[in-house]
Amino acid sequence: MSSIQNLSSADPFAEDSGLGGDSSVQYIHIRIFQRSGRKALTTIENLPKNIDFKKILKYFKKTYCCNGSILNENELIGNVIQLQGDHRKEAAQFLIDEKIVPKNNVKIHGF
Amino acid sequence: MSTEELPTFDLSQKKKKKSTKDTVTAEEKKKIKSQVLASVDQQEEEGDDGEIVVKEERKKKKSSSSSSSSSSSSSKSKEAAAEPAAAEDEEAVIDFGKKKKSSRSKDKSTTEEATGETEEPSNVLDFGKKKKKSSSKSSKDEGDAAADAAAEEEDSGEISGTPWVGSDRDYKYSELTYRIYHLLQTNNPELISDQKRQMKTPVVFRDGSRKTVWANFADICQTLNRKPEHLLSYVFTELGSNGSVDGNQRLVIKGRFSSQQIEVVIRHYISEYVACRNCKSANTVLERTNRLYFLSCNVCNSKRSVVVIKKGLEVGKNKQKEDFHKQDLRKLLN
Repeated sequence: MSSIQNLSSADPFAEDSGLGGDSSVQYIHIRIFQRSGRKALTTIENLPKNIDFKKILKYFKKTYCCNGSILNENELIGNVIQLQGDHRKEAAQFLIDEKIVPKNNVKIHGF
Repeated sequence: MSTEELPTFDLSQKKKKKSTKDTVTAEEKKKIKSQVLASVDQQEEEGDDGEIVVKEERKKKKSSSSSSSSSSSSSKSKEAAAEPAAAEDEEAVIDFGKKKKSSRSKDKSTTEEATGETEEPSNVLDFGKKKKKSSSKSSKDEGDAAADAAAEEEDSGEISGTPWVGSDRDYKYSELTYRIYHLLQTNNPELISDQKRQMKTPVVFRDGSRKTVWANFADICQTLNRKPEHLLSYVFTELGSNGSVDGNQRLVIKGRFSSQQIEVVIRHYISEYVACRNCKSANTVLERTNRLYFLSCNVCNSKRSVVVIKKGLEVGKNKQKEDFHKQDLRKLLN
């Protein structure tokens, strides 16, 4: 098998390592949840595991002047950064600029 | 479409004029004239068949001739400079007439007279005017005898087939494009209408302060050819909200949303679950096979798998639920 280059890269029968979404492309989902009135919550899901969540959260909180937290409710989903207020675009831009994720893999949900 | 198509065609002809102005020599002029005359002879023969149809056009031409005669007098001064251009122009204009005829004869044969005849004369009128101008120009070159021929050519121009018949020259790109567009327009106009499919704008209004009602939800589902449940689940996941469909097939969403916001969501939905990736048509069917959703296009028969709608971590909702629970507890305690 390994002699054929195409097949050596990924084992199709291995366990799905992806955390939701397509296993081949790791999309980062940025969602918004409306609260009351103008208030909203932004969640960033499916971030790569090797990043320092605390550091990034601190940066977000400082630059966007908001509070936020790291959620870890579900083992399957993993760590989720939650920010208060609608910061979808800024957060996506930051992730792209810092090359944490490629541009095509960021999905901004909501209106 | 024809009105839009014509100016572009004219432009191309004008461009050609400019480029060829310097290169067109007297010899070429003669050649063109001879070609024109030859084609005129042909057309005269064919002219007898289509006289009944042409009668209407003649009437119109009479009315248009008065305007064209004034234009011809004004063009006299320019005549010397525009001579080579006029020759070219004439050629182009004759093409118009011939093409028109080709489509007209088709109309006859396919018995689409009702639509064809009503549509045609308006086009014909324009063509006639243009032709008159150029033909009157050329008639001055060729003398009065040729003027009669040119006049007859107008009528017969509508009757002949393709413009290159009767000449050895190659087809011009503009002629061919014009021809295909014209044929398309007369036979099936839907194909060339490059208007984008218009979506109905979602009718959204507020129901109280916390609920939003989407009135034409079922209507939009129908135009998209999707099940209401599918669109509903997508909308709810995207908006991070929930709601229900009420008795009048309206969608009630919890939370405040404006019409534009809903529109954005629909746009995303279309690009994800309706539009075909290959041909961008919206004429697609979403079908489920082996627990996977596939989008198959009715136009180009392409098929692609589609991501299952997946809810994210429902943070806000859980919190709200918790809050409600807390409130309930407090109420109970009090």
